[in-house]
Amino acid sequence: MNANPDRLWQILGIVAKEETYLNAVMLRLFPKHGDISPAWLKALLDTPEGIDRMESFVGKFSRMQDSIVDKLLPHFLLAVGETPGTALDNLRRAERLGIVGDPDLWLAMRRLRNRLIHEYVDDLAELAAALDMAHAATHELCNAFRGIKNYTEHNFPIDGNTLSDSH
Amino acid sequence: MIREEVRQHFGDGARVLLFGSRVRDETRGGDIDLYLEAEGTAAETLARELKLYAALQRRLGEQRIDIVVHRRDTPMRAIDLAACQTGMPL
Repeated sequence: MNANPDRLWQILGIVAKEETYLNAVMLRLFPKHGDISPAWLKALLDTPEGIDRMESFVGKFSRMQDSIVDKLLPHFLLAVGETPGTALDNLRRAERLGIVGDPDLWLAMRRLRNRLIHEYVDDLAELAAALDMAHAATHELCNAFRGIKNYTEHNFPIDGNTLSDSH
Repeated sequence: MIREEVRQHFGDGARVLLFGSRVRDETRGGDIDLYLEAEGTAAETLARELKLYAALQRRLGEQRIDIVVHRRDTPMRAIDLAACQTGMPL
């Protein structure tokens, strides 16, 4: 696989949309005030709209993770002259380049997805804890995306290839 | 190695069993299914479970690892009972 700025821009465009949709569902889902408590979660899951929001959040949270780890990071590493390896190798390299934080957090995020499937988790305290952690982890996703976007805008500026219009 | 990581993240008091295909199959291949009994709130045990998962994934490579954590102050679920009946202590 060779460095391909056009493909990197294309993936950035997809992740930019994913970030927009993730932020939008978080505004609809999470409480404006107060904690993500078991009582709040019970009230949420008592309504069809609440279940839809929860599932929409989990889907978008998962998709953005996959896009960054499976697509964006490998193409970013190619662009900086590195050879992509396994997901963990790529996360370690991206950490050294200051693009992601602790790679363990990214491994944990993949695991966290299983803990967010409300049909499987009967204990509302567990589900609320998982949702709270996922909420916090979205910052890491957005920071990684923005770090790669800033790098690409700086190093591979192509007319019409800035994402600012889509935000 | 697994026991060492469990102790590091959950302390000496945690009980850990290996269950599922690793115990059942003669080949000893397949997924690594771990059952853990531990103290703590839902948020505390989840945070420890995720750290343990990341540590094991780092040390074992891209293997499929599943971790079931039973908090001691909560009722046993079907998966907890099955793991306790068929699991092998580590």
